[in-house]
Amino acid sequence: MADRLNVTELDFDSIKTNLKNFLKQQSEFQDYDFDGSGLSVLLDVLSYNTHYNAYYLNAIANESFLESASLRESVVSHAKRLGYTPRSSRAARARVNITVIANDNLPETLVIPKGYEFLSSSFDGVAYKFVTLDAYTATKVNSQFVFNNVDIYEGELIQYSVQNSYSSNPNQIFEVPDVNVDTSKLSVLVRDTPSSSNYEVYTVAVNALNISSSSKVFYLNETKESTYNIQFGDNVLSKKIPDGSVVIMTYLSTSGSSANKANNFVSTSPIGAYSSLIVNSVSAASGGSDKETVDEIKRAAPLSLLSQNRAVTKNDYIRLIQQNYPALEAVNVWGGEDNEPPIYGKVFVSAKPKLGFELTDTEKDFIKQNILKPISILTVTPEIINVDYNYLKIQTNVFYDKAKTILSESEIKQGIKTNIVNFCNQNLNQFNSYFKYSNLETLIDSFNSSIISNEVELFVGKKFRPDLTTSNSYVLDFGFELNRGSTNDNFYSSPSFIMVDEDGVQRECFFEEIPSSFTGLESVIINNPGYGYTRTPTVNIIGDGTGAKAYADITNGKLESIIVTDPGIGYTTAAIQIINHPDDTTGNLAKATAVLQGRYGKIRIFYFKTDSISGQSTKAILRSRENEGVIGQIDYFLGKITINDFNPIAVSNDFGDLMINIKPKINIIQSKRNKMLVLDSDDPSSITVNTIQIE
Amino acid sequence: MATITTNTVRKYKDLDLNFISHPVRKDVNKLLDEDAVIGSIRNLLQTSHYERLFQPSLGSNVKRILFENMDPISESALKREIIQTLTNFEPRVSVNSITIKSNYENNSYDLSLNFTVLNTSEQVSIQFSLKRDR
Repeated sequence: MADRLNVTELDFDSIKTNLKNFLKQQSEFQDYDFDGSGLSVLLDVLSYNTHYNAYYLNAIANESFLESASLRESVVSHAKRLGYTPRSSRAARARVNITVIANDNLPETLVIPKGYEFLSSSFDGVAYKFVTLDAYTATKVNSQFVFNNVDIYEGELIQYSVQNSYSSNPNQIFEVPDVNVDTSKLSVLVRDTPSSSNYEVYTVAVNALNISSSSKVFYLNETKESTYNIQFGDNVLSKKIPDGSVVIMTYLSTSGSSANKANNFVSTSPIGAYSSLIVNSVSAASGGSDKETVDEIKRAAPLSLLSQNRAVTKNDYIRLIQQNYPALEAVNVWGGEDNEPPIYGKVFVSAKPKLGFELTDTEKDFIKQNILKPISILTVTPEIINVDYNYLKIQTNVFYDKAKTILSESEIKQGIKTNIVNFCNQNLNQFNSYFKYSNLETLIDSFNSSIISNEVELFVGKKFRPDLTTSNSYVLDFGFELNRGSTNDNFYSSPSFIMVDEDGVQRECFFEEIPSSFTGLESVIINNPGYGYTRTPTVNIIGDGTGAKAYADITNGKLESIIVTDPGIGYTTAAIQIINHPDDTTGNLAKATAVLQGRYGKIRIFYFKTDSISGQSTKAILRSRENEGVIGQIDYFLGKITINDFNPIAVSNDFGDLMINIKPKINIIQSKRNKMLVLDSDDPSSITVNTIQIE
Repeated sequence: MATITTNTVRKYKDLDLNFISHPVRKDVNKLLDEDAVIGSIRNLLQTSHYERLFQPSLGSNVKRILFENMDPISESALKREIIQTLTNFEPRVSVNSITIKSNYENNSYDLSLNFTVLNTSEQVSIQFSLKRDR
């Protein structure tokens, strides 16, 4: 039986082979497998044509689905079906205060008009133009006009007018002729005739729920050419604009994210009659972002359909914040019921900006009032809290065989550092992340075949900025279990700070941990007081040590407390067993947990004292006369460090930040809620690589 | 008992790219055996590299050589190129000899190619001239 022609292949060579196999079954022309033959020329044409069509069909099939489409216009079209309009570029916003020195003869009020221009100082070789999008008014006070908190936006304010004609534009679609438009700053006015002074304001339609036949709205869509167009209604679904009317679009043409961080603005023209102006920045430009990319649209469009533009679930919040405020690298949201301690009726938002570590107050306010308030549930108040950063410090000793590599020692060090930074960029700098110690070790081992082994030492640091004027207490919450100190290399602080000792001498100081060893039972915490106890129950301590003793106190049938009479010795674990008195038949449910000595550690401050005669430097404890110099406590189990009555005079750091570094107890560090584990790649002490040659 | 004789000698049958119809059958003409091979040689020499889709190596450099200065170097390059092309892409041919003479008056090369068609052991000699066209 003759073979059938195989039609499964798509590429040129396979198609040609299939055709040749097919031709083998005939004897009319037999030169199909000689390259020079006329038949071969014919086969080439046929195969090329088949290949071309197959490719074309494949591309069409790909473009038919959101997941596989690659042309922007296809992706945009799929997104449109899901009710999603891709985000345009967003202009960066800065805030300035303007002081105008007034001439007493002139009017009492002064107006900064909409569209008034500023120029930023040159930034990456470009000075960006910023404009006001509102008019601001100030009254004269002490021969000055002061405009506070003027919002200025990066870009050029452009007005574009087009006359409507039913005959040439029956669908009432008008293109905004600029690919760099910020559609959130687009305003649309319609005049009935070119000469008319009356106009109507049209706003963008967000959804179809509250639109009537007279609603003055327009519909925004992205076009094939990556610009946007606006479409007016048909007098059924929103108002139709009259024939011959003039559509005036005012929009901002922006450079998007490249203007972020622009600062130090100067005005380019006088305000009214005044050219003597002082412009002070309140906040540098931030929040600028580029047009949504094809990949971003693919991800966002289905999620937008799921959230229906309402912030209800956790993911709705995350999605809507990211969509409307794209200058964020990571966003996390949790309900008040999951907070510690629980706060009901609130939803907490924490976000890391793409640039820097903290959101400014302006940004927080914008997210809360303009993004979340309009779409969140009435009784739920959004609350934006700062990200609580844990800074990772990685120290690694790498053992390698020099004979097995052509890389120099410094190249190995640099290569490992780059690998660690990449690893951290992928796994950290985000919420709800896990940092796995073992992954890092494997990564270092796999850098080069000459590496035999490595030891990683991990510290996690926390920054705080002490008040230099008054004595204050500080709580640093790491959020994971800390390593209980047994040697002095578990804990360090940097940089140094200046404090006055008992004799009134200023000393350059550091924090240190007082290592505590395991011994016995420190206390017993009641988890559940139970009920119905008529007689005092017996408390048994079950553990690997010996000698611990405790007794219980009952009040009104409940367990009031358990008091440790003898801490015992040698415990590393202990459990509490509560046994009813033989005569007590009703007592039930009481539960308690043992706290071993060593759950808490102590912190004190030390300095180096130089002997004036011998010149030798010795370590001394600050204020050792009061309470042995103890200034704070470490709760290893909860990962909390408390520092009490801390009053330094100065901190040896430009920003006044102190960092306390400690080893984690566990090898997997999880970041919950507003906690984020980051590697500060600008900090040279964050990665230390020591190489050790093995012969 | 009837005997079945099978002919192991393969006949070469190719399409004539001139598409001249058969005078009687009005069908597309067939080229047989040595004519098919000659047609193939002609196709190969007239095809430049990168001309055929997805097969950049197929063809010869003859066209480019024709646009070089006419001298003994070009002559020998042409000879080498023809032998190379036939060795690479025409397995039915074993070249016996090739002579090239520059014809300065016509700006062309006169060639005489003698080869053996492998399945017939028949020696074929063809004369043709190569002239640059445009």
